[in-house]
Amino acid sequence: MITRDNYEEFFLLYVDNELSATDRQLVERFVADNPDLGEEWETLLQCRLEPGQFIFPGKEELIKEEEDPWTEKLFEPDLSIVFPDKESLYRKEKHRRVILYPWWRVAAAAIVLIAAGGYFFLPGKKDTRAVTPATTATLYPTENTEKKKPEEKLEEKENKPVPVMIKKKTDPALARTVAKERTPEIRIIEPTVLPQPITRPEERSIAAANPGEIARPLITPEEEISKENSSFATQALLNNATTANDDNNYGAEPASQKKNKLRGLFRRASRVFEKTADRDDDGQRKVLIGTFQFALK
Amino acid sequence: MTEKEYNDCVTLYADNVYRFILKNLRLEDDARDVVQTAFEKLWKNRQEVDAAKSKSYLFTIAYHQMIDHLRKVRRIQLREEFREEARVSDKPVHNLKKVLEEALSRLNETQRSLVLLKDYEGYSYAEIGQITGLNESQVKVYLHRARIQLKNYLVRLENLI
Repeated sequence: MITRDNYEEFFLLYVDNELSATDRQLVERFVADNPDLGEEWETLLQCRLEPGQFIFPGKEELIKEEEDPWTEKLFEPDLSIVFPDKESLYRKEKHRRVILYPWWRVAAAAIVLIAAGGYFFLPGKKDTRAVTPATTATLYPTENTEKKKPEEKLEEKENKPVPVMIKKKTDPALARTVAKERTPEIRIIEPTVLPQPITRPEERSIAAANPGEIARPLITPEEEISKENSSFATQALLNNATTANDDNNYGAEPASQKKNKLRGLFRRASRVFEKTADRDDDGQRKVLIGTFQFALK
Repeated sequence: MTEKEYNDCVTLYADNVYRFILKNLRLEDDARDVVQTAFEKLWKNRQEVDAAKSKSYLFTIAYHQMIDHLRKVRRIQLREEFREEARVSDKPVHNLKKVLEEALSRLNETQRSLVLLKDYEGYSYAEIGQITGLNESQVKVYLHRARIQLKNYLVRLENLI
Protein backbone atom coordinates (compact mmCIF):
# COMPACT_ATOMS: atom_id res chain seq x y z
CA MET A 1 0.00 0.00 0.00
CA ILE A 2 1.49 3.29 -1.10
CA THR A 3 1.04 6.20 1.27
CA ARG A 4 2.46 9.68 1.50
CA ASP A 5 4.96 8.35 4.05
CA ASN A 6 6.51 5.60 1.90
CA TYR A 7 5.85 6.87 -1.62
CA GLU A 8 9.54 7.95 -2.10
CA GLU A 9 10.78 4.36 -1.89
CA PHE A 10 8.08 3.29 -4.34
CA PHE A 11 9.10 6.07 -6.67
CA LEU A 12 12.79 4.99 -6.49
CA LEU A 13 11.91 1.36 -7.05
CA TYR A 14 9.81 2.45 -9.98
CA VAL A 15 12.79 4.39 -11.47
CA ASP A 16 15.09 1.41 -10.88
CA ASN A 17 12.58 -0.84 -12.59
CA GLU A 18 12.41 -3.11 -9.57
CA LEU A 19 8.62 -3.20 -9.28
CA SER A 20 6.23 -5.62 -10.77
CA ALA A 21 3.73 -4.50 -13.30
CA THR A 22 0.99 -4.38 -10.65
CA ASP A 23 3.08 -2.24 -8.32
CA ARG A 24 3.98 0.01 -11.19
CA GLN A 25 0.32 0.60 -11.86
CA LEU A 26 -0.24 1.29 -8.15
CA VAL A 27 2.53 3.90 -8.22
CA GLU A 28 1.14 5.54 -11.36
CA ARG A 29 -2.33 5.61 -9.77
CA PHE A 30 -0.90 7.06 -6.55
CA VAL A 31 0.84 9.85 -8.50
CA ALA A 32 -2.36 10.56 -10.35
CA ASP A 33 -4.24 10.73 -7.07
CA ASN A 34 -1.58 13.07 -5.57
CA PRO A 35 -0.81 15.80 -8.11
CA ASP A 36 1.30 17.79 -5.64
CA LEU A 37 3.87 14.96 -5.81
CA GLY A 38 3.94 15.05 -9.61
CA GLU A 39 6.90 17.48 -9.86
CA GLU A 40 9.03 15.38 -7.59
CA TRP A 41 7.94 12.34 -9.55
CA GLU A 42 9.03 13.92 -12.84
CA THR A 43 12.39 14.97 -11.44
CA LEU A 44 13.17 11.41 -10.36
CA LEU A 45 12.28 10.13 -13.78
CA GLN A 46 14.80 12.58 -15.29
CA CYS A 47 17.52 11.18 -13.07
CA ARG A 48 17.68 8.01 -15.13
CA LEU A 49 20.63 7.94 -17.42
CA GLU A 50 20.12 7.20 -21.02
CA PRO A 51 22.76 4.91 -22.49
CA GLY A 52 24.34 6.93 -25.21
CA GLN A 53 26.05 5.56 -28.28
CA PHE A 54 29.47 4.33 -27.28
CA ILE A 55 31.71 2.34 -29.59
CA PHE A 56 34.83 0.68 -28.30
CA PRO A 57 37.65 1.70 -30.64
CA GLY A 58 39.86 -1.36 -30.28
CA LYS A 59 37.28 -4.05 -30.77
CA GLU A 60 39.19 -5.77 -33.59
CA GLU A 61 42.15 -6.23 -31.30
CA LEU A 62 40.07 -8.25 -28.93
CA ILE A 63 39.06 -10.84 -31.50
CA LYS A 64 40.92 -14.06 -30.82
CA GLU A 65 41.67 -17.19 -32.80
CA GLU A 66 42.49 -20.38 -31.06
CA GLU A 67 45.84 -21.79 -32.08
CA ASP A 68 45.74 -25.37 -33.21
CA PRO A 69 48.91 -26.99 -31.98
CA TRP A 70 48.76 -29.64 -34.72
CA THR A 71 48.47 -27.25 -37.61
CA GLU A 72 50.70 -24.60 -36.16
CA LYS A 73 53.77 -24.10 -38.26
CA LEU A 74 56.85 -24.97 -36.38
CA PHE A 75 60.04 -22.99 -36.41
CA GLU A 76 62.33 -23.78 -39.25
CA PRO A 77 65.69 -25.11 -38.00
CA ASP A 78 68.62 -22.84 -38.63
CA LEU A 79 71.27 -25.25 -39.84
CA SER A 80 73.88 -22.55 -40.15
CA ILE A 81 74.31 -22.49 -36.40
CA VAL A 82 77.08 -24.91 -35.50
CA PHE A 83 78.53 -25.56 -32.10
CA PRO A 84 82.15 -24.37 -32.35
CA ASP A 85 83.88 -26.56 -29.77
CA LYS A 86 82.45 -29.91 -30.62
CA GLU A 87 85.75 -31.72 -30.04
CA SER A 88 85.60 -30.94 -26.37
CA LEU A 89 82.32 -32.81 -26.09
CA TYR A 90 83.57 -36.16 -27.33
CA ARG A 91 84.08 -38.67 -24.57
CA LYS A 92 85.65 -42.07 -24.38
CA GLU A 93 84.12 -44.56 -22.10
CA LYS A 94 86.46 -45.80 -19.41
CA HIS A 95 87.06 -49.50 -19.16
CA ARG A 96 85.23 -50.98 -16.33
CA ARG A 97 87.31 -52.47 -13.62
CA VAL A 98 85.89 -55.67 -12.31
CA ILE A 99 86.09 -55.75 -8.57
CA LEU A 100 85.32 -59.14 -7.14
CA TYR A 101 83.93 -59.73 -3.75
CA PRO A 102 86.42 -61.11 -1.22
CA TRP A 103 84.92 -64.59 -1.22
CA TRP A 104 85.09 -64.61 -5.01
CA ARG A 105 88.78 -63.88 -4.82
CA VAL A 106 89.33 -66.70 -2.38
CA ALA A 107 87.31 -69.08 -4.55
CA ALA A 108 89.26 -68.10 -7.66
CA ALA A 109 92.59 -68.63 -5.89
CA ALA A 110 91.43 -72.02 -4.63
CA ILE A 111 90.40 -73.08 -8.14
CA VAL A 112 93.79 -72.07 -9.54
CA LEU A 113 95.62 -73.93 -6.81
CA ILE A 114 93.55 -77.06 -7.27
CA ALA A 115 94.05 -76.98 -11.03
CA ALA A 116 97.79 -76.48 -10.68
CA GLY A 117 98.05 -79.20 -8.06
CA GLY A 118 96.07 -81.58 -10.18
CA TYR A 119 98.31 -80.94 -13.13
CA PHE A 120 101.55 -81.54 -11.28
CA PHE A 121 100.58 -84.24 -8.82
CA LEU A 122 98.18 -86.45 -10.71
CA PRO A 123 100.04 -89.74 -11.43
CA GLY A 124 98.95 -90.04 -15.04
CA LYS A 125 100.30 -86.67 -15.98
CA LYS A 126 103.54 -87.18 -14.21
CA ASP A 127 104.21 -90.55 -15.79
CA THR A 128 103.48 -89.30 -19.24
CA ARG A 129 106.09 -86.61 -18.86
CA ALA A 130 108.62 -89.14 -17.58
CA VAL A 131 108.25 -91.56 -20.47
CA THR A 132 111.33 -91.71 -22.61
CA PRO A 133 111.13 -91.48 -26.39
CA ALA A 134 111.82 -95.20 -26.60
CA THR A 135 108.89 -95.88 -24.35
CA THR A 136 106.51 -93.62 -26.19
CA ALA A 137 107.45 -95.38 -29.35
CA THR A 138 105.83 -98.57 -28.18
CA LEU A 139 102.96 -99.95 -30.13
CA TYR A 140 100.75 -100.48 -27.15
CA PRO A 141 98.55 -97.69 -25.98
CA THR A 142 99.11 -96.40 -22.51
CA GLU A 143 96.54 -95.01 -20.13
CA ASN A 144 97.37 -91.45 -20.98
CA THR A 145 97.87 -91.79 -24.65
CA GLU A 146 94.45 -93.31 -25.01
CA LYS A 147 93.04 -89.86 -24.58
CA LYS A 148 94.37 -88.94 -27.97
CA LYS A 149 92.63 -89.91 -31.12
CA PRO A 150 93.52 -93.43 -32.26
CA GLU A 151 94.60 -92.32 -35.72
CA GLU A 152 97.05 -89.76 -34.36
CA LYS A 153 98.60 -92.22 -31.97
CA LEU A 154 99.08 -94.80 -34.66
CA GLU A 155 100.80 -92.34 -36.93
CA GLU A 156 103.25 -91.48 -34.22
CA LYS A 157 104.01 -95.10 -33.59
CA GLU A 158 104.57 -95.86 -37.23
CA ASN A 159 107.00 -93.06 -37.79
CA LYS A 160 109.18 -93.57 -34.77
CA PRO A 161 111.66 -96.41 -34.48
CA VAL A 162 111.42 -98.80 -31.62
CA PRO A 163 114.92 -99.42 -30.43
CA VAL A 164 115.67 -102.27 -28.15
CA MET A 165 117.97 -101.10 -25.47
CA ILE A 166 120.94 -103.45 -25.47
CA LYS A 167 124.10 -101.63 -24.78
CA LYS A 168 127.53 -102.67 -25.79
CA LYS A 169 129.80 -102.73 -22.89
CA THR A 170 133.17 -101.19 -23.43
CA ASP A 171 134.52 -101.89 -20.03
CA PRO A 172 137.91 -103.67 -20.37
CA ALA A 173 137.20 -106.11 -17.61
CA LEU A 174 133.93 -107.08 -19.09
CA ALA A 175 135.43 -107.34 -22.54
CA ARG A 176 138.06 -109.63 -21.31
CA THR A 177 135.56 -111.85 -19.62
CA VAL A 178 133.29 -112.01 -22.66
CA ALA A 179 136.15 -112.80 -24.93
CA LYS A 180 136.95 -115.92 -22.99
CA GLU A 181 133.42 -117.14 -22.90
CA ARG A 182 130.97 -117.46 -25.75
CA THR A 183 129.01 -114.43 -25.03
CA PRO A 184 125.73 -114.06 -26.82
CA GLU A 185 125.61 -111.69 -29.73
CA ILE A 186 123.29 -108.88 -28.94
CA ARG A 187 121.94 -106.86 -31.79
CA ILE A 188 119.92 -103.77 -31.96
CA ILE A 189 116.67 -104.41 -33.61
CA GLU A 190 115.95 -101.91 -36.30
CA PRO A 191 112.48 -100.54 -36.81
CA THR A 192 112.34 -102.35 -40.11
CA VAL A 193 111.60 -105.59 -38.37
CA LEU A 194 108.37 -104.15 -37.01
CA PRO A 195 105.15 -105.45 -38.42
CA GLN A 196 103.10 -103.50 -40.84
CA PRO A 197 101.39 -100.37 -39.46
CA ILE A 198 98.21 -101.03 -37.62
CA THR A 199 95.53 -98.67 -38.75
CA ARG A 200 92.56 -99.93 -36.84
CA PRO A 201 92.02 -100.25 -33.12
CA GLU A 202 91.04 -103.91 -33.43
CA GLU A 203 94.33 -104.75 -35.01
CA ARG A 204 96.14 -102.78 -32.39
CA SER A 205 94.46 -104.70 -29.63
CA ILE A 206 95.41 -107.95 -31.27
CA ALA A 207 98.97 -106.83 -31.46
CA ALA A 208 98.93 -105.89 -27.86
CA ALA A 209 97.87 -109.37 -26.92
CA ASN A 210 101.18 -110.81 -28.25
CA PRO A 211 103.78 -108.23 -27.61
CA GLY A 212 106.63 -110.70 -27.47
CA GLU A 213 106.16 -111.60 -31.11
CA ILE A 214 106.57 -108.10 -32.25
CA ALA A 215 109.64 -106.87 -30.46
CA ARG A 216 112.04 -109.08 -28.75
CA PRO A 217 115.82 -109.23 -28.73
CA LEU A 218 116.85 -111.48 -31.47
CA ILE A 219 119.01 -114.05 -29.83
CA THR A 220 119.22 -117.20 -31.80
CA PRO A 221 119.06 -120.57 -30.06
CA GLU A 222 122.67 -121.35 -30.90
CA GLU A 223 123.64 -118.09 -29.31
CA GLU A 224 121.86 -118.87 -26.08
CA ILE A 225 124.30 -119.52 -23.32
CA SER A 226 123.67 -121.86 -20.52
CA LYS A 227 124.00 -120.58 -17.03
CA GLU A 228 126.70 -123.02 -16.21
CA ASN A 229 128.89 -121.90 -19.10
CA SER A 230 128.40 -118.20 -18.69
CA SER A 231 130.10 -116.01 -16.27
CA PHE A 232 128.32 -114.15 -13.54
CA ALA A 233 128.74 -110.87 -15.35
CA THR A 234 127.50 -112.29 -18.59
CA GLN A 235 124.37 -113.59 -17.03
CA ALA A 236 123.77 -110.26 -15.41
CA LEU A 237 124.29 -108.61 -18.73
CA LEU A 238 121.82 -110.92 -20.40
CA ASN A 239 119.31 -110.40 -17.69
CA ASN A 240 119.76 -106.74 -18.04
CA ALA A 241 119.25 -106.94 -21.75
CA THR A 242 116.13 -108.99 -21.27
CA THR A 243 114.90 -106.61 -18.68
CA ALA A 244 115.60 -103.70 -20.93
CA ASN A 245 113.75 -105.43 -23.70
CA ASP A 246 110.84 -106.03 -21.46
CA ASP A 247 110.93 -102.47 -20.38
CA ASN A 248 110.81 -101.34 -23.94
CA ASN A 249 107.91 -103.53 -24.76
CA TYR A 250 105.84 -103.11 -21.67
CA GLY A 251 107.15 -99.89 -20.27
CA ALA A 252 104.06 -98.04 -21.25
CA GLU A 253 101.80 -100.26 -19.24
CA PRO A 254 100.46 -98.69 -16.07
CA ALA A 255 101.71 -101.42 -13.74
CA SER A 256 105.32 -101.21 -14.94
CA GLN A 257 105.28 -97.43 -14.88
CA LYS A 258 105.03 -97.42 -11.17
CA LYS A 259 108.12 -99.57 -10.93
CA ASN A 260 110.22 -97.47 -13.25
CA LYS A 261 111.90 -95.62 -10.49
CA LEU A 262 112.88 -98.65 -8.49
CA ARG A 263 113.87 -100.55 -11.57
CA GLY A 264 116.13 -97.74 -12.71
CA LEU A 265 117.70 -97.66 -9.29
CA PHE A 266 118.35 -101.38 -9.37
CA ARG A 267 119.73 -101.09 -12.86
CA ARG A 268 122.24 -98.52 -11.80
CA ALA A 269 123.30 -100.65 -8.90
CA SER A 270 123.70 -103.68 -11.11
CA ARG A 271 125.84 -101.71 -13.54
CA VAL A 272 128.15 -100.83 -10.72
CA PHE A 273 128.51 -104.44 -9.86
CA GLU A 274 128.87 -105.45 -13.51
CA LYS A 275 131.68 -103.07 -14.03
CA THR A 276 133.66 -104.32 -11.13
CA ALA A 277 132.50 -107.88 -10.57
CA ASP A 278 135.07 -110.45 -11.52
CA ARG A 279 135.41 -114.17 -11.31
CA ASP A 280 138.04 -115.96 -9.46
CA ASP A 281 140.22 -116.66 -12.44
CA ASP A 282 143.51 -116.12 -10.88
CA GLY A 283 143.01 -118.76 -8.20
CA GLN A 284 143.19 -116.38 -5.35
CA ARG A 285 139.83 -117.51 -4.10
CA LYS A 286 138.56 -113.93 -4.24
CA VAL A 287 135.67 -112.33 -6.00
CA LEU A 288 135.49 -108.59 -6.59
CA ILE A 289 131.99 -107.15 -6.49
CA GLY A 290 131.91 -103.42 -6.79
CA THR A 291 134.30 -102.01 -4.35
CA PHE A 292 133.97 -105.00 -2.15
CA GLN A 293 136.20 -108.06 -2.37
CA PHE A 294 134.82 -111.28 -1.07
CA ALA A 295 136.88 -114.35 -0.18
CA LEU A 296 135.67 -117.64 -1.62
CA LYS A 297 135.59 -120.77 0.45
CA MET B 1 33.24 -20.83 -23.34
CA THR B 2 34.35 -21.51 -26.86
CA GLU B 3 36.31 -19.28 -29.16
CA LYS B 4 33.16 -18.30 -30.98
CA GLU B 5 31.35 -17.49 -27.74
CA TYR B 6 34.24 -15.35 -26.65
CA ASN B 7 34.27 -13.45 -29.93
CA ASP B 8 30.53 -13.05 -29.69
CA CYS B 9 31.09 -11.63 -26.25
CA VAL B 10 33.48 -9.11 -27.76
CA THR B 11 30.95 -8.12 -30.37
CA LEU B 12 28.04 -7.82 -27.94
CA TYR B 13 29.62 -6.46 -24.76
CA ALA B 14 32.84 -4.64 -25.61
CA ASP B 15 30.99 -1.36 -26.19
CA ASN B 16 28.95 -1.79 -23.02
CA VAL B 17 31.97 -2.45 -20.87
CA TYR B 18 33.84 0.39 -22.47
CA ARG B 19 30.96 2.79 -21.83
CA PHE B 20 30.67 1.69 -18.23
CA ILE B 21 34.40 2.11 -17.61
CA LEU B 22 34.68 5.35 -19.56
CA LYS B 23 31.82 6.93 -17.60
CA ASN B 24 33.62 6.03 -14.42
CA LEU B 25 37.21 6.94 -15.39
CA ARG B 26 36.42 9.75 -17.83
CA LEU B 27 39.70 8.97 -19.62
CA GLU B 28 39.51 7.05 -22.87
CA ASP B 29 43.01 5.55 -22.80
CA ASP B 30 42.64 4.30 -19.27
CA ALA B 31 39.19 2.95 -20.08
CA ARG B 32 40.58 1.20 -23.13
CA ASP B 33 43.38 -0.44 -21.16
CA VAL B 34 40.96 -1.65 -18.53
CA VAL B 35 38.66 -3.15 -21.14
CA GLN B 36 41.48 -4.90 -22.94
CA THR B 37 42.75 -6.33 -19.68
CA ALA B 38 39.26 -7.53 -18.81
CA PHE B 39 38.88 -9.33 -22.13
CA GLU B 40 42.35 -10.87 -21.81
CA LYS B 41 41.37 -12.35 -18.48
CA LEU B 42 38.12 -13.59 -19.95
CA TRP B 43 40.08 -15.29 -22.74
CA LYS B 44 42.46 -16.95 -20.35
CA ASN B 45 39.68 -18.22 -18.14
CA ARG B 46 37.26 -19.07 -20.91
CA GLN B 47 37.34 -22.76 -20.02
CA GLU B 48 35.84 -22.02 -16.60
CA VAL B 49 33.34 -19.37 -17.71
CA ASP B 50 29.81 -20.25 -18.67
CA ALA B 51 28.75 -18.49 -21.83
CA ALA B 52 25.40 -17.51 -20.28
CA LYS B 53 27.18 -15.62 -17.51
CA SER B 54 29.90 -14.18 -19.65
CA LYS B 55 28.50 -10.63 -19.57
CA SER B 56 28.32 -10.35 -15.78
CA TYR B 57 31.70 -12.07 -15.53
CA LEU B 58 33.14 -9.52 -17.93
CA PHE B 59 31.63 -6.59 -16.04
CA THR B 60 32.87 -8.01 -12.76
CA ILE B 61 36.41 -8.24 -14.07
CA ALA B 62 36.21 -4.78 -15.58
CA TYR B 63 34.77 -3.25 -12.42
CA HIS B 64 37.49 -4.59 -10.14
CA GLN B 65 40.11 -3.75 -12.70
CA MET B 66 38.79 -0.23 -12.75
CA ILE B 67 38.83 0.03 -8.96
CA ASP B 68 42.44 -1.14 -8.90
CA HIS B 69 43.29 1.30 -11.63
CA LEU B 70 41.70 4.19 -9.77
CA ARG B 71 43.51 3.33 -6.59
CA LYS B 72 46.85 3.12 -8.36
CA VAL B 73 46.54 6.02 -10.77
CA ARG B 74 44.54 8.38 -8.67
CA ARG B 75 46.11 11.77 -9.09
CA ILE B 76 45.68 15.17 -7.56
CA GLN B 77 45.34 16.56 -11.03
CA LEU B 78 42.19 14.53 -11.49
CA ARG B 79 40.72 15.97 -8.34
CA GLU B 80 41.47 19.48 -9.56
CA GLU B 81 39.63 18.70 -12.74
CA PHE B 82 36.63 17.70 -10.73
CA ARG B 83 36.75 20.98 -8.89
CA GLU B 84 36.98 22.91 -12.13
CA GLU B 85 34.08 20.98 -13.52
CA ALA B 86 32.16 21.70 -10.34
CA ARG B 87 32.72 25.35 -10.83
CA VAL B 88 31.75 25.09 -14.44
CA SER B 89 28.62 23.25 -13.48
CA ASP B 90 27.52 26.26 -11.62
CA LYS B 91 26.92 27.87 -14.95
CA PRO B 92 23.47 27.50 -16.41
CA VAL B 93 23.21 24.24 -18.35
CA HIS B 94 20.15 23.67 -20.42
CA ASN B 95 21.15 20.32 -21.74
CA LEU B 96 19.72 17.78 -19.31
CA LYS B 97 22.08 15.07 -20.46
CA LYS B 98 25.15 17.12 -19.67
CA VAL B 99 23.66 18.19 -16.36
CA LEU B 100 23.16 14.57 -15.44
CA GLU B 101 26.71 13.71 -16.41
CA GLU B 102 27.92 16.50 -14.22
CA ALA B 103 25.68 15.28 -11.41
CA LEU B 104 26.99 11.74 -11.97
CA SER B 105 30.57 12.90 -11.68
CA ARG B 106 29.77 14.24 -8.24
CA LEU B 107 28.87 10.79 -6.98
CA ASN B 108 31.43 8.52 -5.44
CA GLU B 109 32.79 5.60 -7.42
CA THR B 110 30.47 3.04 -5.91
CA GLN B 111 27.32 5.12 -6.38
CA ARG B 112 28.31 5.99 -9.89
CA SER B 113 28.95 2.40 -10.78
CA LEU B 114 25.64 1.35 -9.29
CA VAL B 115 23.73 3.98 -11.29
CA LEU B 116 25.57 3.09 -14.49
CA LEU B 117 25.04 -0.62 -14.05
CA LYS B 118 21.36 -0.01 -13.31
CA ASP B 119 20.57 2.53 -15.97
CA TYR B 120 22.95 1.52 -18.74
CA GLU B 121 22.93 -2.24 -18.41
CA GLY B 122 19.60 -2.76 -16.63
CA TYR B 123 21.06 -5.14 -14.04
CA SER B 124 18.95 -6.00 -11.04
CA TYR B 125 20.00 -5.28 -7.51
CA ALA B 126 21.12 -8.87 -7.13
CA GLU B 127 23.23 -8.82 -10.28
CA ILE B 128 24.78 -5.50 -9.36
CA GLY B 129 25.56 -6.97 -5.95
CA GLN B 130 27.40 -9.87 -7.64
CA ILE B 131 29.42 -7.55 -9.84
CA THR B 132 30.40 -5.08 -7.19
CA GLY B 133 30.68 -7.49 -4.31
CA LEU B 134 27.88 -5.88 -2.32
CA ASN B 135 24.76 -7.50 -1.01
CA GLU B 136 21.38 -6.70 -2.46
CA SER B 137 20.28 -4.42 0.39
CA GLN B 138 23.46 -2.40 0.16
CA VAL B 139 22.99 -1.97 -3.55
CA LYS B 140 19.44 -0.79 -3.02
CA VAL B 141 20.37 1.70 -0.32
CA TYR B 142 23.42 3.05 -2.12
CA LEU B 143 21.51 3.35 -5.35
CA HIS B 144 18.58 5.20 -3.77
CA ARG B 145 20.95 7.61 -2.13
CA ALA B 146 22.60 8.23 -5.48
CA ARG B 147 19.22 8.89 -7.11
CA ILE B 148 18.19 11.37 -4.47
CA GLN B 149 21.56 13.07 -4.78
CA LEU B 150 21.10 13.39 -8.53
CA LYS B 151 17.56 14.67 -8.07
CA ASN B 152 18.66 17.24 -5.57
CA TYR B 153 21.34 18.38 -8.00
CA LEU B 154 18.77 18.80 -10.74
CA VAL B 155 16.34 20.60 -8.41
CA ARG B 156 19.02 22.90 -7.21
CA LEU B 157 20.09 23.64 -10.78
CA GLU B 158 16.50 24.38 -11.79
CA ASN B 159 16.18 26.73 -8.89
CA LEU B 160 19.31 28.55 -10.08
CA ILE B 161 17.90 28.84 -13.53
